[in-house]
Amino acid sequence: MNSLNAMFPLLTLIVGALLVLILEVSIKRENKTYLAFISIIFLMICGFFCVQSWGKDFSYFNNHLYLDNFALFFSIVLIITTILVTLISMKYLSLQNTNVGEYYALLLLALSGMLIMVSSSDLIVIFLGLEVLSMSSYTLAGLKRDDQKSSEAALKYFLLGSFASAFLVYGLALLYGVSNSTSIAVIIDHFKTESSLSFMAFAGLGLVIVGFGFKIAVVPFHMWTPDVYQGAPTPITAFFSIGPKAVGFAVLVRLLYPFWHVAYDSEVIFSLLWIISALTMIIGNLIALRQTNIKRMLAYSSIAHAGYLMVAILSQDTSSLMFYFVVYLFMNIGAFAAVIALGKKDKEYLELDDYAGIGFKYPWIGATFAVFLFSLAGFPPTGGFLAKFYVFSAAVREGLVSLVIIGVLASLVSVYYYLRIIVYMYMREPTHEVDINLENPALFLVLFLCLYGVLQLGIFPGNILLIIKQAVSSIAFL
Amino acid sequence: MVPTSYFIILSAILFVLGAFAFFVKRDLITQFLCIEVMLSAANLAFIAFAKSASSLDGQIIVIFIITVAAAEAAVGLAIILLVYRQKKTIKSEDMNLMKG
Amino acid sequence: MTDIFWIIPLIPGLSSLILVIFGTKLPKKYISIQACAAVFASFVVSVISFIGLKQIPHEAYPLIKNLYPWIQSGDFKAALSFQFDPLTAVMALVVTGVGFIIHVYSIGYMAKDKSYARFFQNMNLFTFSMLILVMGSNLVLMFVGWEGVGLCSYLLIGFWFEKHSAANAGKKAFIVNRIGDAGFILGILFIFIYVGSVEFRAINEAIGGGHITQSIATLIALLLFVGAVGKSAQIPLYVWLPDAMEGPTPVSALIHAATMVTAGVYMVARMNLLYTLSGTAANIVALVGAITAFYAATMALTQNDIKRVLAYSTISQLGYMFIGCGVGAYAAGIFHLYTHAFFKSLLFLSAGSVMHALSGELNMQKMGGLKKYLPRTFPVFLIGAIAISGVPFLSGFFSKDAILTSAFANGNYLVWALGIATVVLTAFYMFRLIFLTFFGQERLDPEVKKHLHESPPVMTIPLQILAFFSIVAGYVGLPLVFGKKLNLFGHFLEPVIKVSHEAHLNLSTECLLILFSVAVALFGIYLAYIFYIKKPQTPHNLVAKFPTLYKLLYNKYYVDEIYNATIVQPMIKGSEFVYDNFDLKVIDGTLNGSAKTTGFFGKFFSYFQTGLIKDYALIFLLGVILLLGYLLF
Repeated sequence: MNSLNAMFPLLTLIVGALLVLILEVSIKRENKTYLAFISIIFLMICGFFCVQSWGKDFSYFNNHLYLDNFALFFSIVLIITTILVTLISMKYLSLQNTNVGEYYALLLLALSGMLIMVSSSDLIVIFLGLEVLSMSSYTLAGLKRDDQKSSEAALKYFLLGSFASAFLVYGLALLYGVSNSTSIAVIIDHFKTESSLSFMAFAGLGLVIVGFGFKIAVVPFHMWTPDVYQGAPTPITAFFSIGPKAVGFAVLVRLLYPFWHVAYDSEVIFSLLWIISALTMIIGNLIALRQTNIKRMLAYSSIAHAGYLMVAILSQDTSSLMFYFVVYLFMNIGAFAAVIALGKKDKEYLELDDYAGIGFKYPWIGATFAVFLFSLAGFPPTGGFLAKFYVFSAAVREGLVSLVIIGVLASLVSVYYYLRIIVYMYMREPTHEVDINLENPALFLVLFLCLYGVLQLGIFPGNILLIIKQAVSSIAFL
Repeated sequence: MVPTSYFIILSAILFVLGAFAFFVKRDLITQFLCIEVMLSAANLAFIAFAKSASSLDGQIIVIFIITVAAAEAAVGLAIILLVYRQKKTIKSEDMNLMKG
Repeated sequence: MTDIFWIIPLIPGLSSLILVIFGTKLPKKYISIQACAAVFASFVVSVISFIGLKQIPHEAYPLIKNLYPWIQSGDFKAALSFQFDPLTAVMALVVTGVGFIIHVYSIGYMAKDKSYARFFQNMNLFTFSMLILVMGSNLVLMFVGWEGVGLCSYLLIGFWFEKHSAANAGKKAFIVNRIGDAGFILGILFIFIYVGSVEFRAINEAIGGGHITQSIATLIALLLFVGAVGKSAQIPLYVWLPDAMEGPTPVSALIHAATMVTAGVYMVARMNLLYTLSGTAANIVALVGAITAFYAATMALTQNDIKRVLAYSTISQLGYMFIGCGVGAYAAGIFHLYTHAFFKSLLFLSAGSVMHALSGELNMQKMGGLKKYLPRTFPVFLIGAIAISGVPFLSGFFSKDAILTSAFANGNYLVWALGIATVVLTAFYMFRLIFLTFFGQERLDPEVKKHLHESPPVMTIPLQILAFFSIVAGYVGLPLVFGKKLNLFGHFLEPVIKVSHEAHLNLSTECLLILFSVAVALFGIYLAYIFYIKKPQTPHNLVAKFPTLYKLLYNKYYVDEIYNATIVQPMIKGSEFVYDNFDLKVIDGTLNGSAKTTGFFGKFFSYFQTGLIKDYALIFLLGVILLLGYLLF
């Protein structure tokens, strides 16, 4: 495979995005759903190319592009995410009067940004990928143009996001200053060989962590999350809760892993991340307790999950991190899909009160939503349980006992707010009429797929674990 | 010749100024400009480092960053305009529909 | 063709799934056809696999089909993989064959029930679980099936859950079984610790290779046996089985006679190397089996409920199977399991047919003289009774005899004596049942008599098939007296069950033993004849003479009451005490306190979430400053 072939997944996405943009002009407003099918076709081709490259040699463009199994694994996870998000958007957009073709093009562009991030070995290229992702995300968040909340979400995301990118860029500048390069390999080499590291090196690394900490929404860089998640169109919220997080963590893995084994004392970075992880788990779960808006609650819940994922980073167990992502993808998209299912023309049901009695009125939606919530809370036999179990047991093996105790207590707290929704769905009398539009086959397909995924991963995780093993064994560890 | 450290100190001052101004200022456009200042600070640092190490990389990166800043300006101003159309204000403290 | 065996369990599983999802919307006719067809298809596949198995060399046993690497956690591996060897083949044939007949019978029996779909979905699920149990190639998968049949049994015993007693019986079965399961899980854990794997092959290799000491083998074997005692209703955990008769009769036949309760016997036979190695454990198995056999038979003597008599007789017959396993004659134990499946399901289903005819009447004292009203049910019932009593040339005779002869040959005279005594009792209570039900005066309620009718063909034809097998099933395992090579059954099982030190008797002794047990059985029947036909007042005289003994037997030795007083009540009292003092005060206090605290902190933190960009930026900046400060200083 030559370097050009390695670009195929990326090229496919960009061509797809441009095609959607061109067609968008000539397609009538009520037919924009066709664009979704076109973009799904391109996503599938892109996925096909990724699968094709699995297990091949991985270094292209003079080591600037790493198409190792690790990158491919995350690419495929992200492609699946985007396909599912596209599916749940189709009906939603026409119901919520947001039927614009740019939507699908922007999703494809955001995905291309993420693919650049997971497969690049140069921090500047990663930054460019991040900006492609961010720019599309800002726009996507504000696509409900006549909704004040959506615009406000876009504004907050944009201002705070560019603020955070500025820190990231400055950190890159400092790292460039000390190592004369922006390649991850060279930077890490500098940290490994230099006996006394300069002030600038640490400041640079710290600012880079800040930049990615913003994307994965860990405390104290999480403040934007609930507002943006609440205001953005719901399928986009689902997308935000997985896509940017996954790439953020993938980059952190590439960046931080070599650090654990370097000669100089990595203790300080380690304890820093320890504190961030603990704070994220505690604060995310505690604030979620008070939420009555489902989207906002899920936003805090996603902050908390970022905390659990940090535990996996700290225990240096990439496979548990990746397994968590796969599970998280299915349970979170599933939960958001269930939230989207409860909607009709120009109306979404997002308050806790709306969910009273849903379990009996719409038994299928209620039951699947309950399964996703059980999975998010970490009950067996769902995937959420195994994911948490793998992360925490790896952490215990690494001696992070006190962090695991904090994590388990925090997830105990989380049981309360997840189960509260189930209590509302099954044990409360409805206070007002909730009727929903049920003609939504794509959405039900997604609900079913996610249900299948959550249960499959909870009961028979064997195959996925094998794939993850292959991916981990080939991380290009510079 | 001016030593590199002078440039770095200048860029650090610019950066910190931008960051603090971002949360002191109450106007969306000004806040956005603060971010531009911070990016420029980074650009300055890149160029200074490139100069001192006499490598071209840093200068190329600057061009990338300027491009990114331009794209950000386009998206950002569009979003601010959108907000202004709805609320008839660009004061940042009026943007608090969602909280808690 | 042999490698398709892995679909045997999946067919009923799939059928059950379909019924779960669409059951309420499908017509009754379709449901019954699908449910029966699924079990029948599995039976056909079992037969094909069985034939294929006989054609391949013994060295290739067992066939393994690895479907999925199910659990992988460190060293612990459990695969979703099925195995097929002679023992599995026998079990699969029994489960699917008898299961199919019972499914067909249920079409007629449950015809008027409103939860028709739920019934068949549970029956299919049960068949699925039982097949998982017997086909799993490791202990963990076996345990999944083990729990699965427990769950189905709970669901089916409590099938008429509106009835308080049925719901309670379901709970009782579940809880008692859980006690046994605890032992079983511990056994699996110990096996994993000492063998490092839960695959049967690896376990057998470890035992064969001498990696396990005798004392550890005893420990593990006894723990596993605790599980078997629970599932197979042996002393002291038998109490759930009689109550389980609250379920519909086909359930009693399928679960509590033919298949589920035999899981314990299957498990012991599967782990036969372990029990043989331990020795002590095998003796305990034999002794528990013998005592249970005798003890349950005595309780069956005085029961008036037709199904309860059969329930106690099941417990007693299971005791026989354990005697077989305990004295090293595993093949004989499995042989009895196989014949018992036919005649016991025959008896249960015939009893169901009687109930059906009498509008649900169960009390034998209110029957009598039914011979002429139930011309098709009576002969098959009689065949079942003769078969179970051990009268020559029916299936029960051969299998029971194989067990008793082995016990004698092994020198376990106490066990043998209890076995022989049980033969008398078995013959007696079975014929007591026959005489009270079909002969003598009519003691029917007039109301019941009005509706008296023979069951439809969909019920009686399965009975006739079962009756046929109750007669002939024994001829695949003839004893040594009839010729050396005629024990086909034992030969077939040999690759799984190594016949090593089974002591052999000379022919004349064996002949004598057989004649003796036949005589004893006939004596039992004769006794019943005297008691209930010739001099019907005898039982009353006896009761008058030995009132305490009668009361003791009639009340089943007061075991339920004893358990209630010594275990259940103290538990309830204790848990109430703990609830009042610890739960309400300490735990709830802490919990409410901590809930309040977390709520407070949640409020505190969300206070910072002002929605203002400048505050967000401030916290971001503070975070950066703290982070950099931490990194740099």
